[in-house]
Amino acid sequence: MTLEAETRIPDRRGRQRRPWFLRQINGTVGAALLAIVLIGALMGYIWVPYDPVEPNFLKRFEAPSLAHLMGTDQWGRDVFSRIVAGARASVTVALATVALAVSVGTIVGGLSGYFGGWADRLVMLLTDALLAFPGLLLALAVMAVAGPSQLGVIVALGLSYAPSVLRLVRGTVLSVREREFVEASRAVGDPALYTLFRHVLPNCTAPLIVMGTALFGSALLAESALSFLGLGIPPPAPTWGNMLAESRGDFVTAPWLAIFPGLAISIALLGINIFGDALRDRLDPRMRGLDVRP
Amino acid sequence: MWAHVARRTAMMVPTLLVVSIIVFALIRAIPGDPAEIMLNDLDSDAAITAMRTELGLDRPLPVQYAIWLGNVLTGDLGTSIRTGQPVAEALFDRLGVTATITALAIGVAVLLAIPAGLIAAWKQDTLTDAAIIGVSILFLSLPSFWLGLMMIWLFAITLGWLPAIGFVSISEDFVGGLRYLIMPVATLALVEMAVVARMMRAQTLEVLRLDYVTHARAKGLPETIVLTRHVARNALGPAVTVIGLILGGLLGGASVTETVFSIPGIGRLLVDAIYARDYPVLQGCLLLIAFIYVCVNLLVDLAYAVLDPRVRL
Repeated sequence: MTLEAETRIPDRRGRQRRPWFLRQINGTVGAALLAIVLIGALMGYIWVPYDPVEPNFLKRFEAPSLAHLMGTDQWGRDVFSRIVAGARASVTVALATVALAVSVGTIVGGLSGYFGGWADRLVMLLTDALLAFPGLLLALAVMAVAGPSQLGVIVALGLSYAPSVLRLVRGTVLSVREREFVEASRAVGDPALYTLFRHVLPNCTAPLIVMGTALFGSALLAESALSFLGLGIPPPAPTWGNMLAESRGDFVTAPWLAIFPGLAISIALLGINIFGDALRDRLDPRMRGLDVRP
Repeated sequence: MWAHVARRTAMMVPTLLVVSIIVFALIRAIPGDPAEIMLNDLDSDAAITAMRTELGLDRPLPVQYAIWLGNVLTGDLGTSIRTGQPVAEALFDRLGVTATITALAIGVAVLLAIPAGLIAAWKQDTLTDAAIIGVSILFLSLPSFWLGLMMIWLFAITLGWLPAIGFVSISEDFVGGLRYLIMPVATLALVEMAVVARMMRAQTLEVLRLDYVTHARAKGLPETIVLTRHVARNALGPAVTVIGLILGGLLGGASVTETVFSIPGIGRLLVDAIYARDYPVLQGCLLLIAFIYVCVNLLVDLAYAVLDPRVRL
């Protein structure tokens, strides 16, 4: 921790002049919002007040009350319980997606950038082609093949995000490859893979953390969007996206069905965006413009 | 300059070829035999075999791909299984709707976001800056499909000012068409605005500390001239590149907005094609959107080279 003061990036923007609420708000508020979402997701694994899936036709369309904090839906299910269970699904899918994208992107991008040659050119050709499918498009196409399921969403989104990670890692590897410490590792006869994983790839950690945070937000939003379209996690399992989709028929008479799932997504994304900005300023100020996108 | 244009354009070709291979492979990976999907379950095995031969499905995959690519390049994208309409025609019908909404959303977003980002950076670390950053990050965090639903609830259902869902072409009924466009365009523009404003603010901050800005101020130019002529012009270049990104977001997310507002655009066509397993339409949508996206990114790159001659080197 003592190193921190010396290794911090010099702040040319004069952070000190910022009003106190801005200085305080950045990391803390983001982390707090993110913590609410993560605790909600954990709670979804352990305990929810009512069964989020089982219908109860005696309690259809009840407005929010003390017994049902966010009301009940068209099947008489408690919306709050479904939001909490939905947090579990959304956070699990988003984490798994980021893990998949980061591991595939790092391994392939690292090997490709470090060894170069025709394999590298082939990988880059494929990467460019995959990046030619904007936003949700590739994920939609993969879901058309896989059919709606949780695993399908993870694979579809992981595949959509891996090319961006790959590009980032490959770029960093290319610039680090020629540095003296890598040359030194080669000179003492370290195996190539050892040099790559021990000396080259650790240099990608900071940008990867920044990108991983942004991707976590993207994945959360994309999963909601896919589920909203009926191409993500299928009902009756609750997710924020399919709750919004199901609310479309009834939200004129029961607006709480649409309000709360959307609020949940917004709070999660706000937390990730604010926290991500603070993280980026701290770890890698060059990576501006990497916004959470659907 | 022309050599640069030619080189960048030539680089598109291998990418688009691999895109076509990916689309072909994905469509072939969809479970189920296309011949059986096109015919009824009741048809005999002989009819299915005949259909397979007719579709060329009994040939080896590379041959199938070559034939398919040849057809695509000559503009023959097949016919829709669901409606029997030629796919190229269906795409052309729907593209206008999506293009109108996308162009309007980008226009509104850029017109509002560029000044907002410029002012935020100029007033860095003041309440104005904090307000612009705060609003941007808030809109960035609202899912467009929820924002759309909430707008329908407020403006269409509660206040009754605008029609809730649907679409009327502005070429048929200009005022009526505009009323249908307001909410979808606003939904998209608000989110995209946030992206552009943040980018513009960051770029302006970079430019503001450069020596020529100090110089311009030192020689007594009014601040508005310094900002518009010296700062904005140089900050715009990189900010323009995000338009390519935005367009990607809008095209890739068109399915979602068009579903919320029941707009008959290309995104809705894509989702309906997935539901109906209408694979010629699905592959047509994928190819067209990827093609547009690659072309726009090329144009953005070239525009960047025009704005900043150093890029060409």
